[in-house]
Amino acid sequence: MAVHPSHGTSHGSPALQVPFLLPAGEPLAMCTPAEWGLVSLGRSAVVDLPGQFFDLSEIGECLAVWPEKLTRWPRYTDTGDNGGGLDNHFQGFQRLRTPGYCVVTGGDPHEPVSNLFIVRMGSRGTSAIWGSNLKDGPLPPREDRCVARLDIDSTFWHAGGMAQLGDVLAIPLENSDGAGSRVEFIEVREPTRPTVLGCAIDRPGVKGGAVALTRLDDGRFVAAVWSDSESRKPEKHMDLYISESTSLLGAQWHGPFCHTTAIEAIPKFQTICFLRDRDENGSATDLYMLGFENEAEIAPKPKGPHHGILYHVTLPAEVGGTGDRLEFQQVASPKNFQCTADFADMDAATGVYVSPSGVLAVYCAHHFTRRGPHNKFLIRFQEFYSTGPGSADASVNSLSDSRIELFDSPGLAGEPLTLIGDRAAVDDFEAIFINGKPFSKRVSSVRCRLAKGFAFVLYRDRRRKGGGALAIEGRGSPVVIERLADHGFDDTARSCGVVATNIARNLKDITWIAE
Amino acid sequence: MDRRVIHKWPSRRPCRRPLVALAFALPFIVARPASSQLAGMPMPFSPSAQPGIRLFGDFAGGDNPFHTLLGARAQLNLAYVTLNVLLADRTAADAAWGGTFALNLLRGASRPLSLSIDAGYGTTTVDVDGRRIERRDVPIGVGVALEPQVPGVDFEPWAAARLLLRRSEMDATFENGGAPVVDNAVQPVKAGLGLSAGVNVRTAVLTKIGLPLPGFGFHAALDLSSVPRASSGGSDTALLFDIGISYHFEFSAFPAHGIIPPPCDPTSAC
Repeated sequence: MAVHPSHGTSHGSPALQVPFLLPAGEPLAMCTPAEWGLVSLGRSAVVDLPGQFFDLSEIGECLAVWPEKLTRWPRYTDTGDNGGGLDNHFQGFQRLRTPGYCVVTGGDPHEPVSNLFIVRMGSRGTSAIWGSNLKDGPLPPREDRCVARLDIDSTFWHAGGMAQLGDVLAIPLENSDGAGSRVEFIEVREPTRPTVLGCAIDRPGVKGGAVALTRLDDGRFVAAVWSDSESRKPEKHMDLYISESTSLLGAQWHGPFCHTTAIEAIPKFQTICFLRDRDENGSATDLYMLGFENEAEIAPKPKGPHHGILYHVTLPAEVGGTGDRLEFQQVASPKNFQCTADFADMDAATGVYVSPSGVLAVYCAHHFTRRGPHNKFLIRFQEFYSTGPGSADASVNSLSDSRIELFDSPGLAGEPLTLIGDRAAVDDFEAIFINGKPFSKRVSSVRCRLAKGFAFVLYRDRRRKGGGALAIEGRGSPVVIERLADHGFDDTARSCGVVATNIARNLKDITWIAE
Repeated sequence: MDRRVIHKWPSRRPCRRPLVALAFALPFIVARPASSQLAGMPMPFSPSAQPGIRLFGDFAGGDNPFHTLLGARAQLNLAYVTLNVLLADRTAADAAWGGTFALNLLRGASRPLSLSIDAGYGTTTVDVDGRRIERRDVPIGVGVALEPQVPGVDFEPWAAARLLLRRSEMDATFENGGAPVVDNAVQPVKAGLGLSAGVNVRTAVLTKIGLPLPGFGFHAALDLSSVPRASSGGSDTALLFDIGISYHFEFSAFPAHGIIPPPCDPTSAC
């Protein structure tokens, strides 16, 4: 394995330089015991997991990043120069625990090599939700870009749907010639200085397209490797492994424990994820699995249907569970997502993220970098987020978790412009973009989740000026204004911002709304 | 056989056998045989061709009178330039051959379209009712191809326009007092126009069903040409179609663009 850094930007702005990168071609280092001691393994439990899962937004926020040549043009495109991108596309996505970073896996049969792209979202803060980075134009900010590429394996060139447990990534590697597969474990506490944990699971003779990882109450780890495209029977199986120790550093695994019956009715998922539900007391309870796919016969297909399915999981005793056998019990109907064309496809790269404040989010990237405005080929993805732990009525305690959704039709209708936390200022609605397209300047209804001590202000003039502004006081709970016209703001808002309540109170001729 | 040229047509010299020459030239003018485009085949354009060697097998039809051809073509693409060599076989005709040379000015997926300047040479010889007609074509054209994004497929729709320079020569043998005489008539070079469009498709999807043919492709084209006649009004107009299969052997160490590089890396902010 070798890490290749981005070669910097054409402008060489120091602000865009990554603080630490391995020299190109240097083998990936082994994690030391001291480093392992700093690795986090948390955030695999979610308060009210089913509630948050079905509360995930159906329409995602659109984001894009600059590949910065690390995708080796024209690889990872579906252009003729790349043979239509057959077998060469993105396969997995994870937002990392380290603020402002995410990673994308991909398979390149041409080199051949399996890739892990390390992306720094420099324009995004520490917010639970990133929100679209395409509000100021059709192209993303320059600081949102790939900063390194990890070439994982030249035999197993297909890096599939990965799992994340704290700072640890489990990446399934396979190829198309039936030579077997391997699950590699990489620690990404410092995303631009990843290390291997030396506990890879070798799987001779069988494939492995996706993996899920969880930790038992006794500290051991359970990995589930998903395969649904074997050339011989069983075509579809899930293999369970359990670690011998409570550390992943150099760990040995018991397994595989192959299961076929339990997954007969489960679709061909591209991504699977283990999450534990957490009760109100903070104790982890039941284990669940989330699976994502695009039901279309041939993907990418924007219309999908794209969906995620939530299963209650009973692990068998052989891997530390309580059941006689592996069992999956589907929880309600599949959750549908509307993936935007060229931005996301759940037959490509999907990942689950849990924020430090416990907000569940799903990220999904498209198969390819596709031509966009100004002939730019970007890695594009979408963010689907829940309103937070508990329910939509749960309180918001910090500015970074605040969220304001502006709709261009009354009654919260239409595709919202979502403003996140401390990036909620808009100087001119006429110059704003929503998911890369010009936003209608008509703001007709608002849903506002704002922490106490802050106010969301709609102004009648550009650059947050003008008298007769409308302020919504943050109470920690959602405030919904179905018709701004009822408050004298019938499509007349031109700019907005979040300010401290005491500052807002000094504005002249301001109208307050507090519920 | 005593072969001597007794007449060059047209000629400013007094014609010794004007009626004989006209008698032989008339069918050539009226029937307009083999008004085909380049060696009997549509002129190949592929502005966004991938670096490598691509071998084509063709079946073409059309012209006036209608005929069919079997053809073969080899294409060498070195990113900036493309060379084509083509052979065609038609019943009652010698094997025709030709070649083209293209400068790929704009090429590659970093732009939405590719652009090439193409020139070629082709020769066709046909026997019609005892007359031997040899045609030499020199097309000079511009080809444009879109760079669409189609998952799993290299799909190249293209269109081209060209100036077509044609020189035709007709030989006929007859007896004069028991001795064979060859009458030779040469038309002056005529300039016509040609339009063509088609698709080149390549996909490795056959490998998904176990066929180890990652370079397999197919193609189709339509070619319309019109060249003024030498000695009468009107023009020789011919429409040809062409379908075929191909196989591509990829060169990987060539630039992904044409002679004019893209102004900026398509994956970077610049």
